[in-house]
Amino acid sequence: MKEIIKLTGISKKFETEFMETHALDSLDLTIYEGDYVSISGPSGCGKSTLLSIIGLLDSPTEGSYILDGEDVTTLSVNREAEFRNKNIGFIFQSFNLIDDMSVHDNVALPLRYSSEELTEQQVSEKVQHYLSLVGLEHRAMHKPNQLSGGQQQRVAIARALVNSPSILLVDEPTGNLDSKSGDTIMKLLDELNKNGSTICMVTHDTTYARYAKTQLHLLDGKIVEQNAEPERQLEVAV
Amino acid sequence: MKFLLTRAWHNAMKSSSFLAVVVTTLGFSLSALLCVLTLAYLILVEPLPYPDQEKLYRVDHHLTNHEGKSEINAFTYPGLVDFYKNQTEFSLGAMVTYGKDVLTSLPEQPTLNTGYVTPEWFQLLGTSLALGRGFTEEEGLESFIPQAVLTHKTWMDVYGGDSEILDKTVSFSGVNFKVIGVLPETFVEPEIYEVGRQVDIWLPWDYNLSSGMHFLWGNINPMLMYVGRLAESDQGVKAIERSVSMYINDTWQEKNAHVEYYNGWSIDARLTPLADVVTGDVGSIIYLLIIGAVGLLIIACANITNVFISRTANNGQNLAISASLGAKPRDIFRQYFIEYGIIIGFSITFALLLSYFGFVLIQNHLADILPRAGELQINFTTIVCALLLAVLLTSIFALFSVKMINYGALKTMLQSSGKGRGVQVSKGVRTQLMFLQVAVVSILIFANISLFKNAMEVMNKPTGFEYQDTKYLILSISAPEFPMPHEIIPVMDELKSELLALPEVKDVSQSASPLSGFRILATTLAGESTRYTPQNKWVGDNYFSFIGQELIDGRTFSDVDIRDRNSVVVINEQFARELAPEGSAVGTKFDYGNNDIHTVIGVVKGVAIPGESDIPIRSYRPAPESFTSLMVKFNPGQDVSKEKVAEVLSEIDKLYAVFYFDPLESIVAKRLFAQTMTTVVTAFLACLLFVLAGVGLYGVLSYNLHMRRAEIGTRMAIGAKVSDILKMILKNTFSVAGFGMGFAVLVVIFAYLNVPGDIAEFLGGDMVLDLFITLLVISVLTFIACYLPLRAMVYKPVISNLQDNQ
Repeated sequence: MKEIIKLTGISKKFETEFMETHALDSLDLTIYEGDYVSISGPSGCGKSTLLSIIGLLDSPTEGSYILDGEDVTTLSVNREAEFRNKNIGFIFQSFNLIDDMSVHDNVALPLRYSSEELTEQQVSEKVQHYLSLVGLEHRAMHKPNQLSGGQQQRVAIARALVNSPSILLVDEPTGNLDSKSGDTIMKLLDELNKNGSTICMVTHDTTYARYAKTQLHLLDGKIVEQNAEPERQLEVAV
Repeated sequence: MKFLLTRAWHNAMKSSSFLAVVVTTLGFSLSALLCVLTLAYLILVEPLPYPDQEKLYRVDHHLTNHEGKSEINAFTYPGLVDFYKNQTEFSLGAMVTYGKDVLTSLPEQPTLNTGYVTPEWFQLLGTSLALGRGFTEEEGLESFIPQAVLTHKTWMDVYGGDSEILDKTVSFSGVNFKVIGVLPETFVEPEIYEVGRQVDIWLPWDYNLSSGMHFLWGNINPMLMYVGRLAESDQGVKAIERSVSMYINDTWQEKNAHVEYYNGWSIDARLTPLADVVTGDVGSIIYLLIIGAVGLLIIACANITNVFISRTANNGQNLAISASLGAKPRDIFRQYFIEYGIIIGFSITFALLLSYFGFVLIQNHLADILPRAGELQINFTTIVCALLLAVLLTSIFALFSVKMINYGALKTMLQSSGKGRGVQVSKGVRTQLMFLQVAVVSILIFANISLFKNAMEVMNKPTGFEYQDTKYLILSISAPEFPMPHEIIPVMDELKSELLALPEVKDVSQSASPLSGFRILATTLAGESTRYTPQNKWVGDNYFSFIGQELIDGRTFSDVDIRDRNSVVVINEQFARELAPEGSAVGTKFDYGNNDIHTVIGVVKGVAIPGESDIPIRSYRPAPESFTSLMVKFNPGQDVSKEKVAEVLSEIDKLYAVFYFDPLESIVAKRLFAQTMTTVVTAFLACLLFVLAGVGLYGVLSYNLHMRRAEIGTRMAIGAKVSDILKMILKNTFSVAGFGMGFAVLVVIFAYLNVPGDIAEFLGGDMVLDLFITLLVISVLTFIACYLPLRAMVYKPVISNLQDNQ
């Protein structure tokens, strides 16, 4: 199976005038195409930091990072942006939709930043396709604040998918949702994985963590436990 | 309380750049207001520093002609002396007059401002002397005892603080005066003749320069004054005025009864409080200055408010924690009040320091315009104003910060999705703030650029004559009796020869300087009634070639014209154009009255006097050979001192002294003082506005960006490049700034179309270019104010922008 993510010896230190915090400590992790990985752990264990590094939202203090076969450890700001645009789809806890843009425009946003030149019609077709995938094609012209929390998260998922990324990074996707909406979202993610999407999800909810084929448990910046089904192509090293 | 103070101090010191911006911005604007408020209090409220100052009055002597028209406010010499001797309404009164004379007892022969007084003058002002004594009663009117009292400044500057100065001799106009006293440094002279004119040496009344008028009941002199302290009386000032008027008028009528010309004329005496005489009519200037300084402070406060908004918004998390721990709105206000109090305390201290320099500047440069400028200093009024302003501003800023906090939302902010709605200013308000900021600053910067350019144009306007390496020399004659012309001519001829013999001197012209005042000389065309009032100057035969004033038609004066005082005149092209629009004006004859006919022999190009916008019609007539003013031109880079000229003069005739000997360039500089000041002030204001606008725009824009931080983080997370974000933010910013600039352009055009002619003309000069420069400056400023906070945001890890929202 193709390696999508390969982290080797990743450390992340946060320094202030008075103290130094090790958020991640020589962590190795490989995620293959089609995986569905959940990362959980207590607050401050480094799971969000790990997700930020995987998503090129932050850079490690040490270690190397191969994304889709390319070393992305030391990329320029613009090259990082291109990588995020092309290879990574983000789903945030608080949805991060832009309030004064319609649902359609929110979903289309990654396409606008893409180096691929698309006509307006092509953009609309893609947006409609992914909105129908999350069941919101009839809400395209609505503003995010006209939707429920669950619907907003589905819009965020459509936006994350619109550029067909190599991996979906999901950060506490149900944190701001009621249980019913949370279940819907988790089912949708499960569906996406079954259809071939690679997913890496941070959650502190053990129930939802079980949706993943592989569950990692982080403590003090290290992976201390893994629970992978034998047929999954996941390698974890501590 | 100690905790609050420590916390506030820590917060205030946390960001040195924030502190520097607030202290600098408020410091400059507050110092301007403190200077103006101190000046206003001094001029409008504070009593004069003299005993019973409310009883001190100047007697004004208004002459009204036979048609009932007020002619002039000036005493006749004998009328004043008669009033001084016989008045009964004042318990103490002094005669005062002024002059300027050459101190011939010193080798450098400085020209000093002289004051001539009767002995009561120093008693009226309650002056105790630093050295010696003042004039006594025995040394009063008609005693002719030549004694002098030096001001402290003269004692220090001219005599180097000589402790043996008493009994030494000072000589003026051939009279030797014995120094009997030195005034203290604290002595404040009431400037009752001219604002900014300070006497250097006080001499007895008997030696005043107008004493030749002592028998002339028909001649007046505005420099002759009476100041007195009203005697205790049940009568009001109006009744005393009537009584004084009656006495002065009756005396004058009796003395002039034989002069037919004065039939129907009358004198109306008015008593003007000394305080009003000293402060004059500057009330409107003071109010304008207050409005200007308050306006500047308001702009500064608007900008600072933007910075405080940004700071409060950034502080949202801490506020939320405080609220969740039980801090009430009152506690948050107190916290801000103390923190802002510390910051504004620094600003006020800086402002007081700047005010000190402001007072020095006012005393050095505006003493001729603003009365009592010499008394300006940081005093109780300044301190009280500073404290009141500090409390007011601290309260306003603290209230504004607390007002933008939604306390209800603040308490739940920590538990919510954390969108920071507890502390924010609505998008609409932010947009309005930015619009106003750009519009107001654009208008002000445009006005400054226009004023600056206008002043520069006046300063750089070609004069049409040469004044470099040239000095203007005026002589005074220190003789009790003024010599006859035939006695002066040989002295002047010898002086010219001696000066020309000096190796430094290139040429000499026995003429008035092109920069000295012209005299209006009414004339008519001979045989016609057409009346002209050209400005006239008396000049020598080489005047025009000396200053490089070009001859256009005819000829200039010959030495024969000067020697024989021929009835010829040279006019400027402006006058010639009026006289003969098509042909030549040479040969035109003027009648100066009593059949005094002069013929135009030449036309010269008009010269522009620096500081004047138009060239009026002018005529030039031959100066007499006894004319005691000369221009001396030096070889390039060379010069002759006043002492050297005085020495040359003294060798020719000891009665002659150098009254004035200064470069024409310094006269030009004085004439252009207003433009120079305008240039400096507008340049300073433009810089200040630029800084204020930068601070304000930075505050609003960084706050805007702060509010959009999560959005920017999201966009970057899904692939937006730095250039994409920059384009988006600049587009948003300039769409608002563009409206602000557009509004400013409309205001300027409206002003151009609707204000009175003079201002419209001033605006119209290069309005398009000025507007273009203004808009360019504002655009660059907006770009910088936008780019700096954005740069800090987009080059940080993307996650740091998203974290606020997580």
